[in-house]
Amino acid sequence: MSTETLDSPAIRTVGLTKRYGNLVAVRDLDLEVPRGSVYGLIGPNGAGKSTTFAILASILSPTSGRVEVAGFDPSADARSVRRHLGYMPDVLGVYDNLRVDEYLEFFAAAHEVRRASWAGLVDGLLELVGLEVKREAMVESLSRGMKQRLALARALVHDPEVLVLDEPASGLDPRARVELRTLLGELRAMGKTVVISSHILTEMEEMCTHVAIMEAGRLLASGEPGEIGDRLRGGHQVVVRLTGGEVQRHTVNGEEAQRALLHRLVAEEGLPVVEFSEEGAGLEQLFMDVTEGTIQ
Amino acid sequence: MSLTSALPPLNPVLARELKQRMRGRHVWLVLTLYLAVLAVILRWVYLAASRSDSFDGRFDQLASATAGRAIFQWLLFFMLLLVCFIVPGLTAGAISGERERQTFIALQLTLLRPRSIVVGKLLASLAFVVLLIVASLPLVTVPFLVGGVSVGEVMNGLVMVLATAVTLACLTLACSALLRRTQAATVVAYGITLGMVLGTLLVYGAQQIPRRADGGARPDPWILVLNPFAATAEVVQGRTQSAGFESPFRPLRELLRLNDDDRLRQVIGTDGFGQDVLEGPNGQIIARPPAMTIGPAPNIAVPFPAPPPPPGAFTDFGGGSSSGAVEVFPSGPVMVDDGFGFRSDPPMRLAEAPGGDRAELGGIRFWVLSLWAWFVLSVVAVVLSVRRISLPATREGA
Repeated sequence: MSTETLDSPAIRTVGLTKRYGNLVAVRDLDLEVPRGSVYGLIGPNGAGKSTTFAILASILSPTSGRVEVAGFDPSADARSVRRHLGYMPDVLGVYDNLRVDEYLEFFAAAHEVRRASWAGLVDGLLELVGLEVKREAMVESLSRGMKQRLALARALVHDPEVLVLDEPASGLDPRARVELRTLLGELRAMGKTVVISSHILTEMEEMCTHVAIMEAGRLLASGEPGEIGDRLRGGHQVVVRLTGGEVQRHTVNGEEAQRALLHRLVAEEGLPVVEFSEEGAGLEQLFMDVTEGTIQ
Repeated sequence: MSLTSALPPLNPVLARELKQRMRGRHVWLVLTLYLAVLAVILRWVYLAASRSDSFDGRFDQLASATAGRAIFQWLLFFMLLLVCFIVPGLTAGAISGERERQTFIALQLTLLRPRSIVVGKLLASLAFVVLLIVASLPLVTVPFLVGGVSVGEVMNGLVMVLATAVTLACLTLACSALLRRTQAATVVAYGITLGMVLGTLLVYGAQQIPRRADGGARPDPWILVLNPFAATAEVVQGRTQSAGFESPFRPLRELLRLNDDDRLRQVIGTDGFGQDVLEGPNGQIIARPPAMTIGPAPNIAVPFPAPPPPPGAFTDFGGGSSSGAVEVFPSGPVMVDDGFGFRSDPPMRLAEAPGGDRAELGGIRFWVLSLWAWFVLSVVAVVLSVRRISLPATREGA
């Protein structure tokens, strides 16, 4: 559905459905996550984001539908998926009586990383997530933001192509969120595909190249953030506020040329413009537009 | 570092758990308490032994050996008891604890196979038990100083303790994998342990009620196969009761119809010097001045254990569980070392004792049956655990 970027997508689901008894957590979900993208899965609590992630990460098997992660089916070939996928759950469990470097070494060993490369790997990961000074600290003594970064380092221990981060920004203070965003940028620069879920929509808008909006197990919209807005509303609302409180509203589509044209027209008419702004282009608005707030 | 990297890689779960456990606060506490309990038992039995009648200021090899046996059996009994208390507690949180700390998903999503996780968890629990057993070895070797116990018998006893620990660890691990919460796993695991130790005895007792009413024979103690104390009771030789000590295993040995008749003090012959020859508590031959000369009889200190016999002579100085009364005196011309370095023909053959020193069910030694039963239980427990923690889960929740 979105732009045809690379050969095969990092993640693809076709008709993915997961039922718990009578409850349908995920309903006929078609997702396509292009390689190298930062893909945001947005939806209210109970929308099925975590269930979808659990299926991608080979924790749960789907009731029906096809799933492909880095070319492998999680329910048929879980080990291959685990080799290529780093998963960070929404809960931050850490071991007690273990140092930060030992924690990462343990997961390196568990991922069959050669022992000779542990030291360099741990150095690199701690530098990436900015925990070098905590190398010999006990894991349980870390703050929440640091644990989050450690969990991210853990998910990267086996250098996976695809990263699935469940609610990585929840419970973080503003500073930690900014750091997380920077980190995601670095991961993207490393060529990794990152899938994150969140309900902090403004954050997602800045971080993500693609978004998908879920509600009650259904996919409501997916694509690039601006593109979705256009499709749903048939264009952006541009508000031109003039002196004396007069307000004009114009509808344009997502293309920049249209906005530039509007700008020129307004200027050519010689109107006394106070403000020229877009309205409702943000994800927040988009999200409110799209979801109906149904609770399953 | 270079030494450890030359070794084959340790199971990662085991390596991590060892670090964590040994840094934990209660390790030294459990170890200290365990050794303290055993040391108190040792001291208590030793004091009781030195106050008894047969230990009246003179050195009496027989009394000494009997005290050695008492020490060994009580130590073994308490080691077994402590293992039953410690192992479920050590293991109950192995998997449910990780679930509660929310660390388990990350572990399951590594390349570790479920069976590696289970084995690592088991070994981590058992490593601590092995540490306890090794730490208690100096205490267990005290009986060697006073005599009455063979190395083989001590080994047999320790093997039973270890086998009990392995079985309980496997069963507890299954509880931890199948139940969601550590608290529930702990309760069920101790319940299972109690069932194996006391429940089997109760069931066996209940089985006898109808039989006793009609005066029939006692039923075979199949149910006791599950009881770690019963299996250990068969492995140790129970003839301790003579010098005023009761073996802690004696009631179980009676249930198993093992021969515990008081042959210790029975003179079975005289050697060439006119000394009485007695069968020692572990089947070894003891010579001492005739019991007839009561009073200021010359008491000759007998070196114990006796010097190694020459080839061809009687060599089985109490070969643990295998030394039944019959095997003590193999047929044919065998020389008996009388403890002075002199050798004489065996004075007489021991009559085969009724019941003997081996308990059998269906023609198989009782302790062998026990080990098999525990093995099967352990395998079932491990398989259940492995299946429970395998992903992706088709059932709800993981």
